[in-house]
Amino acid sequence: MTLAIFFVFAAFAVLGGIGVLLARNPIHSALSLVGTMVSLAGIYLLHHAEFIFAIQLMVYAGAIMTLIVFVIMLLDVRHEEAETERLGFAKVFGMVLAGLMVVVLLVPLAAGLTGKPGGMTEEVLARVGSVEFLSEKLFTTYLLPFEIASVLLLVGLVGAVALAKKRL
Amino acid sequence: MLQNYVPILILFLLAAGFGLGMVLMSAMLGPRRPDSEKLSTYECGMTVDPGARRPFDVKYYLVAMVFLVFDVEVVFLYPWAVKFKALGLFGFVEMLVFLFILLVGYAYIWRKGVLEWE
Repeated sequence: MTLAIFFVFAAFAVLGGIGVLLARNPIHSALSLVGTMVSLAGIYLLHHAEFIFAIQLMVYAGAIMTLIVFVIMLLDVRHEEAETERLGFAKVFGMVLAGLMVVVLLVPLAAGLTGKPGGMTEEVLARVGSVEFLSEKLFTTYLLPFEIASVLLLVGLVGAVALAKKRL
Repeated sequence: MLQNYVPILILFLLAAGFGLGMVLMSAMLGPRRPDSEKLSTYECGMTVDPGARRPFDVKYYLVAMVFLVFDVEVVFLYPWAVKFKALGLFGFVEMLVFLFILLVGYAYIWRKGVLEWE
């Protein structure tokens, strides 16, 4: 049952991604991206990451997508310009990278490599609780990244003000 | 544990099904006799100023960015609050440091007049 739900979410995530690429209207692309974000949230929940699930919905599907829509409106991109069929450097480079990605994904599959389970198994999470587990790790082991995150947020704030404010 | 989320899934499916069903039903059952007047954008009966897609003011972007930063700040407060007692004084101080750094940002945007709508 869980596996079936996983495949539904995974399919919607991939479809959303394809939609982002294929939509001619940038707003439709953004909407597809929301679909992908929500599907990913579902996958997080299936992995018992309840807190990340809620944050994914609130911050990514909500706040960040709003920001992306603002940027689209700000830039006034109407519809994608008529596609040039010319094979530019960017396209070739993109194709090479995509090909490499496929190889990276297929090799472990062909070689029969499987993942190694870490310490954060379902049983542990069910016992400790998702938020409690995250909290313990975040505020002890990963204290420095947590504090640096505030500096990163500060940089984002100052950068936005420097870019968008007419008179500083 | 996941069983707790089954009601949410059902609600989600119902909401999606309802929305989809309404669109499909009106597309299939509704009569369709379009003319140029009917297909034009309707807005309170007034002639619509052409195009809603004009560039938005950058002020909106600034508000969204400020919201996002403090949104993420609050997100970090939640797991901290859950384990507040266990983390003790050390946890309290480290959160104060985190908040202080963002308070600098808050003072900065206040000083720069970002909070005022000019």
